[in-house]
Amino acid sequence: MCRRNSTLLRWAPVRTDVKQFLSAGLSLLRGVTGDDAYEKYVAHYERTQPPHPMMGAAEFFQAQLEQKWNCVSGCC
Amino acid sequence: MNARLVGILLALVGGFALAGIALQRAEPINALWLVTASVCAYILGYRFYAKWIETKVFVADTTRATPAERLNNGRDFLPTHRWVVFGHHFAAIAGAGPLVGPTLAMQFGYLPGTLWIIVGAVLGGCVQDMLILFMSTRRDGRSLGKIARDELGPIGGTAAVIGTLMIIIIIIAVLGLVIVNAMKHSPWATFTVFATIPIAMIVGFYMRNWRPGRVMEGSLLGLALLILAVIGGGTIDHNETLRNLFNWEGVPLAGFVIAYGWLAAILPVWVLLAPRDYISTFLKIAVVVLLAVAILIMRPVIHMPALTQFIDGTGPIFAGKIFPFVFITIACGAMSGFHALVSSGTTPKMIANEGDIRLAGYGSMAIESFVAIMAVIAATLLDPGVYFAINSGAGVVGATAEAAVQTISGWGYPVTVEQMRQLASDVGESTLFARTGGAPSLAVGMASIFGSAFGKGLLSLWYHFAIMFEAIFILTTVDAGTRVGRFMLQDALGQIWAPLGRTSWYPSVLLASTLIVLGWGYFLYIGVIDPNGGINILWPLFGIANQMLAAMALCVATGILVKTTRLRYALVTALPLAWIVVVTTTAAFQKIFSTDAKLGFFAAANDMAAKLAAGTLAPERVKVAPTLIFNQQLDGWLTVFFLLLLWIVLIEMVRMSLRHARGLPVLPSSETPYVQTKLDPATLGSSAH
Repeated sequence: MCRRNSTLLRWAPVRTDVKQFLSAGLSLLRGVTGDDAYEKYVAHYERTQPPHPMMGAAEFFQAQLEQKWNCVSGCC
Repeated sequence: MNARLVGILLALVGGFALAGIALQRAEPINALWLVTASVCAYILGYRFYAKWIETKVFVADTTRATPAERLNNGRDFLPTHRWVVFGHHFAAIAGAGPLVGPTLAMQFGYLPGTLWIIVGAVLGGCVQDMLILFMSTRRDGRSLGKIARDELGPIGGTAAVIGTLMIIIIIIAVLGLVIVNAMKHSPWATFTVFATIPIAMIVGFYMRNWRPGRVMEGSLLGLALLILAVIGGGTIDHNETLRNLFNWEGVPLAGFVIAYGWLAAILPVWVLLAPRDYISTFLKIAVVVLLAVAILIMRPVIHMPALTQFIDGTGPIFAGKIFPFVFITIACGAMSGFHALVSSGTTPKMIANEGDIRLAGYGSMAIESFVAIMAVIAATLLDPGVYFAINSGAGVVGATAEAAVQTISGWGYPVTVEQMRQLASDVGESTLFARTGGAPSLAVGMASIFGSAFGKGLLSLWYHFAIMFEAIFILTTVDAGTRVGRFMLQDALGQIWAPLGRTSWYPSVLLASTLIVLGWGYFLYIGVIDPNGGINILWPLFGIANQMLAAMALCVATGILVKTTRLRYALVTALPLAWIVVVTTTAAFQKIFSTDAKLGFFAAANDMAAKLAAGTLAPERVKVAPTLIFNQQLDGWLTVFFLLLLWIVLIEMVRMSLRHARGLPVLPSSETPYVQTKLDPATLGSSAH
């Protein structure tokens, strides 16, 4: 998070650090909430090129929900 | 060398804080002591104990491909960044449990609950979550019930499945009761909770039709609408006509929760269930961070004494001595069997590398435990008199404000009618007397923390924000739990007649959903009509059920460790197992055999039957007495059943371990064979080197 050679007098590296920190936080939040699930699916599809056609965003979201809620999840 | 120095420093600070908490009895202490002690304990536990377990006991192999890699389908099986898995797992295990249990347990004083939350989590709960996560990851992400069947045999497996189903029914009932008690005669709270339903539906449409899969946008929209609903509730509360529209008794509100649960279970998930879960995840993370920051800013002083006289079992909130009941009341936050279901559910399918298991399993539970510590702080910063006035049922302290104030002040916790009236008006409620269930007192505590840290004038808004926050959690458990219960029941019914097992056959869906809703709806209804608030009966039953499931999970883990590693390493789970078996068995025995009508289920049934026969019951109680008598007996038999289930699994595990020790054949380990990983650890930020 914090680069060792950045000093208080030189703001540019600090600003980059803050930016990096925020974007890391955002990508973490997107991962936890499942916001990036479709992007991951597309990346996986393009890498593996399976025989069945790629799902659209809406279709994928629907399939994802069905899958998630057809098992034990959630807690006290 | 550096790590060791940091460790020693943490141990010194943590030990000093713990000693401060334990020894400083004469004057109120600052909540920062609890924060320091717990955080040091978690870090030490994570860095040293969990690391030792990871390297010596289950021996994480960072070169081994996980199910996420081998079975990668781009969807549920997907190698995921370790911090995302950590966040996901935390969001899945955290709910209303770690908030309500500690609040109720504060009737013993802040010390016993705090120590149990810290020690229980570091040595028991976190270890259980981490080991079950590891074992499921080594077995293609299979569920606890399946692992129990594979490793201990069909008897243990069946017992685990039945135990899970029972605990789901009890947990929905008790949490439903918590939320009904928070809404009772509170138009503001009722409106806010009602408003969460159309808001969830709007978000559902947004995520499905308008912007498919845009979960963050949808959740933020939901959050904004929820805050508007909280503010709108205030307007409604100030308008006499609208106010009466939302001013309801407990029974119709229970009917509403039951109808809601049934609808949510049979409707497609995108309508209500999924959007509510997304909003809930978002809110959970935001509020936990906000609360931690607010506590650090406010540094509240704890007014509750370290120990109260109620450790002798005469407490007004629930009956029973400090041992075993503090360990039963605080389940989530210290040790929770329910977590084993998540650890063997979605999380193991996301683990990219076995080196990440410690962070997701042990780390998430440590944070959940810290949430419980924050609940402790929120409950104990109130004047003890106020805390008892909010949480004690009218049947215990007296139906009028004057009677309640007199009883509670007589215990040595001074409180006045004026003080309670002022507090109620500050938070926008008509009364705060006998608001049992933990949610209102937690909301008052959270509101004072938020109010002091971020602006005092908004106390009523903060209070209702806190109630809404708890309601979102609880209704998520109600609908998700009903659905999970439905699947388990359909699976079981399918054994009897195959078509009933088809999860997409609508008659079967309707039948199984209705049965599950009737199951928890019954307990919820009884809790609502109970003159003592119902929580005093249902929460111990939930605690016993949850700890029974924890014991089952630890049995499975111990059984596997006995087979696969050195015998002495199995002590890592065998010791917490022994403790939780002693606690659960003692509590169950007391609930079954105690002759004290406040404590024993059968004693209470007999006591009420005798009073009914003698004609000494008040007329309004005569009507509900037969139902309450039947219910106490049913609860008693349920406890017997839980105890039997627990001991069946335990005996199966011990039998298998003894066979293994004598060199006799046992079921083989169901671990999947080794495959070398091809993943580059750097791309996922994994801890593998």
